[in-house]
This record gives sequence, C-alpha cells and structure tokens, in this order.
Amino acid sequence: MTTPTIPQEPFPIYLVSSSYLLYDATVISHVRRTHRMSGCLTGTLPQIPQQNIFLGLPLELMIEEALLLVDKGAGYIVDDVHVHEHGLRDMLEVDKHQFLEEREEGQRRGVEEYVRKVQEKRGVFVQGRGNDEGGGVDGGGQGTEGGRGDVAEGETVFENSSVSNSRPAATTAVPAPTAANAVMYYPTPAISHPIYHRPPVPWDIRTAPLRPQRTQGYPLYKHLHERGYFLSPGLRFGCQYMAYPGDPLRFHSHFVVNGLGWDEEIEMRDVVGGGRLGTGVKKAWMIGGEDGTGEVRTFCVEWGGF
Amino acid sequence: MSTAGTTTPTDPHPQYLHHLLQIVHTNLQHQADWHSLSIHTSPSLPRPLISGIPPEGTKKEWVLPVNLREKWSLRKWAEVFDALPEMDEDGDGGEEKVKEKEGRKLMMGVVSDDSTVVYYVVGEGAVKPKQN
Repeated sequence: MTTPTIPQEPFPIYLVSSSYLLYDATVISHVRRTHRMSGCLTGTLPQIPQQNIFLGLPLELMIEEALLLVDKGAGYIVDDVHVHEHGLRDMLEVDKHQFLEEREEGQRRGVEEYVRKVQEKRGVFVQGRGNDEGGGVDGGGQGTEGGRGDVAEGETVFENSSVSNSRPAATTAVPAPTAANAVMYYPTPAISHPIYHRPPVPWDIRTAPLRPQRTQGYPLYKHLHERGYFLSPGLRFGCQYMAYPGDPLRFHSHFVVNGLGWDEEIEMRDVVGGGRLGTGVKKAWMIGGEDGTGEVRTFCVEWGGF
Repeated sequence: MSTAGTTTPTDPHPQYLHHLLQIVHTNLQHQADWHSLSIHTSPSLPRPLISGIPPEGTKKEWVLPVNLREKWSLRKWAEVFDALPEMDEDGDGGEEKVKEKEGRKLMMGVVSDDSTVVYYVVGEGAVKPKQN
C-alpha cells in the first residue's frame, strides 16, 4: 500500500440486497478514523465460507451507520446491482477492447519475464546433466534414453511452445502461441475497476437519493455516537448494539445497548434479564430512546449486588 | 418533561403500590439490613419510594418498589427520575442535592409473587459499569 490517502467525500456506499457495503480499504480506514465507525468485515474465502476468524473486504455497515453517513453528507447510497448492470451495458466497445488489450499486455509482459527466467534456469540444469552423462558413456543406450526423456519432459512444461514449433507452416498465419500462453492467468481483482464499475456521482443521480431506513434504535445510536462511542452489532451479546468508549481494538465495551420507543412497554422480567446480562459480562445494560421533544435519554441497569 | 401526569392526584397512590412498598421495606430492613429507612408517598411522586442507607454504605439511596408482573417503559423511568430532586427540595432530608440529570441513580426492588425481592441499580445517562 502507498501512503494513506483521504478519500473524497461524499464517497459511495454500495447497497446490495439491503446490506450497506464499502469496498475500498481507503474509505474504510477513513470512516473508522474520522467518523468513528468500525462496521463489520464480511469477506471470507469462497471455498471455505465457515472460515470466519480472519475476514476481509467488503465491510458491511449497520443500517444506522449508513444513515448517519448519508445525513452527515459524508456518503451517498449507490444501488450496486443497478450500477453494475448499467456499467456493463453502457461500456463502449472501444473502451472494452482497449482495457482488455492493456490487461493482456500487462499480463504477457509479466509472464514472459517469468518464462525467460525459468528457461535460463533449465538451461543451466540441462547443461549440468549433459556434462554428467558425458562422463559415464558406458551406460550406453540407457544413458541416452534417460537424456532424451529429460528433454521431452522439460519441453512438455511449455507445451504450447513445443507444439507450435513442430507444427507445419499452415498454422503460422495465426499469431503463434508462445510459451507465455500456457502460463497466462487472469486473477479476479478484489476491487472492481472503474472501467465497468464507475458509480454515479451524487449530482448525477436524477432520482431522489436513496436513504437507509430510520430504525427505532437510530436516535440512541446517534446519541451515543455523538458522545464518542463506537457501536457495533450486539446480536452475539444478546442486545442491539455494543457500545465501546473508543476504538474497539483499544477498549472493552462498557454497555450492552437496546433502543426503545418512549412508550414501548418492556416486561419487568426483561429488565431483570437485561441487568443480569450486562452484569454477567462486567458491563451495564443500557436502554434509551427519544422522548416527545426529540431529546434522547438513557438509563443503565446493573445488578444491585444483594 | 417534568409534568406529564405526575402532579397532585387527590389520592396519591393506589393500594397495591402501598402493598409493594411494605414488602420491599420489610425486606430491606430485615433481610438486607438497611437502616434509616423512610417511606415517601408525596403526591409529587409518580410512585411511592423508599430511602435508606445500606449496611456497608453511608450514603442515602432511593429504592423504587415494582412488581414483576408490571410492564415498564422509558417514560416511566424518566418520570420517576424527574421527580427525584424535587423530593430533595421538599424537605425529605436529602443532604446531597443532585442537580444534573446524568449520574442520578436509584434501585428498583422487583417483587415476585413468591415475595422474592431482587434489586437492580438504575442510573440515568451513561453510567460506567462498576467492574469495567
């Protein structure tokens, strides 16, 4: 990676089937540093999806985080599926060819360099073997047999080159496949490149801008966020959010949090259960919500100790 | 926020709340060994409260008796908390007047049908947990 860069705001937040995703590591670190949102890394290995210890891009934002970023003007929502389809359809043939050629060219250069090195190495190796066999002539047919076998094996590694060289001249009209072709590969990049995935800039979006739905927990989320807390999804701890007094990499969380409506009724048993839940993990259980005047009030419950 | 439904009913509190009050008061006195207990049923309070000092403590604490069968809400918490400082001014002997909203606390004494009482500390604001 190069030196950290600050992405331009507003940055796109991609909406895929009701998930709000960030694909760009630069944006992700910016969001964490500047907007105090850690989100959740969700990328795993396609073949081993149960591997969930070390996750990577993309980062999924909570709906509250996405909404707050939009409200702050720091981000805007892009319908990813729509944009992707349009990007593919609207791409000019010329651009497409140019892109493919450039990619091909870059790949080829890398591979040719690789093949050249391998051949150099092989040359050295074969030379060494030849010298050895020259010493032991009395091996007779056996020795030459082995020598020939080696050469054949060496050539099959670069199948195309040997085939093309031995082929009759009829095929030479087609550009001769080189050794490089056999080793060419096309990795799938982790991040889509602008050639076919250029998100519309906010001022180009004609329709009303997309806006994440305001959840019941949002006022409380925003209230705590403004007081410097990092919030993360709390399902694993039996609540709505976990509230950390700073970056979750540096702090343990202080609260297990539930957002409520001002007049939403809650069972007394749930108050007791919430108090136990928090105290059991050395935290406090916090509930809160917006009163009639738009002010958010919070209450913390802990076991009384007797 | 301080008014909504909390002021001057002619009959302060229904009978079942007095009953709850009695159970929690007895429990605090004889099981939890609290002292300096007193009962507060001023009409300015949305619910009757108990104040007292825990055996190991020196500071007066508030206890709000509730029944396990009750439903609770943020509004009800807010009404009780909003009434707390008023009570201090009303000459109930509260020596430390808590003016700021953040940091006020009380205990809920939750009474179940088998007369078990459990106590939970409720603080207003973002009260850092004791153990963290």
